[in-house]
Amino acid sequence: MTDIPVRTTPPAPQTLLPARPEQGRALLTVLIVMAFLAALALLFSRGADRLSDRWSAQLSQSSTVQILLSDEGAREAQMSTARDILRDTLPEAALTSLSRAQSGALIQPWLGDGDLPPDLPIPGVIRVDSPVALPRETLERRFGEAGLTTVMDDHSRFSGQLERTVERLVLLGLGLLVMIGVAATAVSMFATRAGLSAQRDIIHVLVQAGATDGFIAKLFVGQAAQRGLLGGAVGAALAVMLWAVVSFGPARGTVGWAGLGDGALDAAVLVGLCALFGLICALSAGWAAMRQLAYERRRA
Amino acid sequence: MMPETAPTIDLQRIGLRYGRGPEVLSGVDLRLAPGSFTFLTGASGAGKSSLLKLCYLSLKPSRGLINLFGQDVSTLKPSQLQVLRRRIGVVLQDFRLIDHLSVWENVALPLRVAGRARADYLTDVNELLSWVGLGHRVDALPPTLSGGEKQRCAIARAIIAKPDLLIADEPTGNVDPAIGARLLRLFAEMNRMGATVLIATHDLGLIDEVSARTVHLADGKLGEGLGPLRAA
Ligand SMILES: Nc1ncnc2c1ncn2[C@@H]1O[C@H](COP(=O)(O)OP(=O)(O)O)[C@@H](O)[C@H]1O
Ligand SMILES: [Mg+2]
Repeated sequence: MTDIPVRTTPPAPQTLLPARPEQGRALLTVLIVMAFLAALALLFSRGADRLSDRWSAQLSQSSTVQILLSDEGAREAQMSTARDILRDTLPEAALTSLSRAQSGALIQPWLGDGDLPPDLPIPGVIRVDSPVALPRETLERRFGEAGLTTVMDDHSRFSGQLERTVERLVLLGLGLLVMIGVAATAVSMFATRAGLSAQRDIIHVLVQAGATDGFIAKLFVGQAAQRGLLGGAVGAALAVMLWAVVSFGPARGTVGWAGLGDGALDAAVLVGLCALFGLICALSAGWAAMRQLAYERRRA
Repeated sequence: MMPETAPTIDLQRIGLRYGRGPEVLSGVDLRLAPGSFTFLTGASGAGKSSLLKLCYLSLKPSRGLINLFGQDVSTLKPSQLQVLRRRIGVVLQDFRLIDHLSVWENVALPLRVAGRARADYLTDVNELLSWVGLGHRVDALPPTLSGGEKQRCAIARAIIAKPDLLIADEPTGNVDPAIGARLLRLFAEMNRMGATVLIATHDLGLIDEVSARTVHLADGKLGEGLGPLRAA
């Protein structure tokens, strides 16, 4: 027994749990799909949020001012006062006074497309398009001070509805995320228990060699974290690809898509999602392993 | 702290049954002094492996008391039991090597589990591997080893952490007598360095190699000497 091994540095540590490619692939596929769904839910709710912000902004920048007077002379006088006030308050805004015919066209949907009765009181209408949000209160106050009988149409009911709808979409997205998180936890715990029982022989050897529950659990935590990060990254990458196709592909612009307008932040959120996915997998694996090891010890 | 003279193993009135089966061990007392060398004999099925399992904490008795290194193991927390297990080296008949780990890694396992730095034990593992004649097989995987090589790998793993108690269950069961004798010299060497050694065997040739205490199991009871085995 004189052979001396020619080794002066320790070999790179081998992983104590064997890689089980078949089981690992199936599990990884599940994790990828879950991460993909989570990433999509996240991107869509962020997109919806952005879209609603943009729409709300657009809505708040335009309005119509109506003068409800049947006497034509009085109406025209009030119209010109209203235009002065608007020009004074919003120098940048574009003002369009609608003719009787144009105003009539606005109410056509309700009255049918026959000729308007000549004595029908048609309100005077001024369209306001402003590069900034309209100071609705100020305008209404000044109209009132000038004794005008104006009605400013108000998009707030519509934009309120839009906001509530989007809020619900965002909540739905978050709910989906939570559900997927729960599913990832369950999958990771299940995989850990399956791993513990498949590696029973190795676990016995480790226990006999003096390994604590924590030491053994860490092996599964490492494995699960790796798998979670990989699954999260691949799933998120697939979601980004789909998102990009939808945002920049042929469908772009057709539905007022918010797209990847906030690309950097979305990318950061997705990286966070991967990390969270890895963390969830790791923590649930550790927890499942500790519980299972304690359970088996009690049963022995 | 218990005094140094506490027996390494002190079994008191041990009873053991599997499930609803008959008692495999009934009222077994066994004391092994530190640094002692003991053979455990008995017919196949007498309960040798079961008794050893109790000693290396792989099994709990149905009744009775197990003291290891002066500590009542039934009072210890799981983490304390693991500290005790690190003081015990075990060689089983089926070796229990980890197939996907190299010989080097299998042997280093107890040190790795104890949290030692790899650079620390590099030389220890290398030296022990050459000492047991596996210096040329460090990177081999267990399934590619011969029976004798597997056994030497298992023994190297059992002694790498310099255990205070070395337990072997039929270590020469599967190997030819020459290798068996060499193995025994390894155990004797460990014993000379201070380890308490307990070997279960029904190989009388092995027992004749060293002069050591012999106890035998029959009908669930433990007795001194070879018992009926010598007579048969
Ligand atoms: N895990 C087990 N479950 C049930 N019975 C067992 C188990 N292990 C051993 N036995 C029984 O206990 C008795 C003693 O077995 P064992 O300790 O292996 O004896 P030996 O090592 O002396 O051959 C045998 O009758 C055997 O069938
Ligand atoms: Mg046996």
